Amino acid sequence: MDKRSKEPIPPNTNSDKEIIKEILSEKERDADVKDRMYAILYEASSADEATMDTDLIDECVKALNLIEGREERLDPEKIKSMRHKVDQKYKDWLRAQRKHRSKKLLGQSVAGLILVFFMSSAVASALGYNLVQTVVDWGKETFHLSAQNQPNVQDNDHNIADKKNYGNIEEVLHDMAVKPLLPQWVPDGFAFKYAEKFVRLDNTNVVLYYENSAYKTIVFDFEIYTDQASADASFEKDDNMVEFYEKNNIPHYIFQNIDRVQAVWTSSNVIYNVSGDVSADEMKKIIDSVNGGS
Amino acid sequence: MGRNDKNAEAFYELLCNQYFERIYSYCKRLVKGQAQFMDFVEDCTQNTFLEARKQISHLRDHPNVEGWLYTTARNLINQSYRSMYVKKRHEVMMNENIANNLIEFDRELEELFNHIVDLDRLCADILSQLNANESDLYRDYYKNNMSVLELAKKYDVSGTAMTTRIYRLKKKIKHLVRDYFKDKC
Repeated sequence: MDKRSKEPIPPNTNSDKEIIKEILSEKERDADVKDRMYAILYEASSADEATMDTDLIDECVKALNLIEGREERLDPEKIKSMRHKVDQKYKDWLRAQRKHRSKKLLGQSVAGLILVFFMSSAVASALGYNLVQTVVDWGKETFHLSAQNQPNVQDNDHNIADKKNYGNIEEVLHDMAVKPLLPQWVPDGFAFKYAEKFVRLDNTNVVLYYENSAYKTIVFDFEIYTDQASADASFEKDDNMVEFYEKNNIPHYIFQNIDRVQAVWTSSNVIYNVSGDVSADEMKKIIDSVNGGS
Repeated sequence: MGRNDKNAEAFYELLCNQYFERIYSYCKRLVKGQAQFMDFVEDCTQNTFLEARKQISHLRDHPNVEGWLYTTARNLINQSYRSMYVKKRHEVMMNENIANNLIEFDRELEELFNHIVDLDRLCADILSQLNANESDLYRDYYKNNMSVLELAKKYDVSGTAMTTRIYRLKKKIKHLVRDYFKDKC
């Protein structure tokens, strides 16, 4: 495309006539240039977001539009309509987020009402408590856990969640007396995105979000409880069977909700609730890694 | 609405104004402009900005927001391809005869240009149709004989991007000459 480095074009002339003659004399098949341009575009597109040469991409896009004679601008009305659709999708997403959050807060933040909790009787016995009796049952659409404990009488107004977001795991777990066991393995391509912490009187809820480049997610939801809590918990599921998976003498329950695989279990005052766009086998590997390896 | 929310909204608005059309064009090029994929070009553009809006507070501190938008769009296009079980390679090869005819036409164009009586006027007419950026590049490259490297430095782009920009300038001049003779014929 450019021969300047080998032979100046046009040599030693400032005449527009000569320059344009020279430009017209350069013969290149559009198909060849197009192929090269696409190769450059794909190469530039394969870079990561931090180092991507977006100027080069823009140049390639414009050059290809020029070769194909499609330099027309996107109609402002079309942009308006597309942006309107984005706004609509965003509102739907916000509504879904709010619904999810209220459901969570309703289920978890009002003391004495519904708390998501279960503790394995093995742990309770090991600690010398005879207070907890965990009942696990499930139907076609729900997975239910119930744990009876000594009631913790609290003023409801004082158990409102204090929520914060964190950019790394160390920060979210800092100054927590009881720390949940963390995953040592997640499927290829998934990386930690951010964390949330909800602090209440009876419990602390830590949520870790992992995501891959295809926007698939894995969510680790840890409920860390005081010894005095008592709760019922229900999880939505589809009509597939609940799979029982034992690891380190702890029962883990694996089931599905829509397209996501979910696993719940409890260990040392922590309720583990993991859900993600993963297979059941991958979920077992995650469980193994949380419990100290395979 | 809090001050932070207002700032986030303003930043999102800025991103849309600056990049919406560019991301759309990019998505369109990734599918090689094929008409049957225009629906998901639109979807991927919209979803890129939907993701941007969801993550707007993080993006405000991102070192390369533009890069983030392009990689998100690329990933969404790839994802759409995969989900449709469509092979990634869609070669739209130009028919050999058409390509040869175009080269033939270019030769004729050269002849016509060389035999025009008032060449200076034609050149002035052609060059007057370049926009300000193209005129600057024409002057720097052809009149001031600046090298690609010097130009890349001056315009703060990579050497490859500058070579592509020069190619576009030449192509535009050829188109203008062609249009001139089309009008005269």
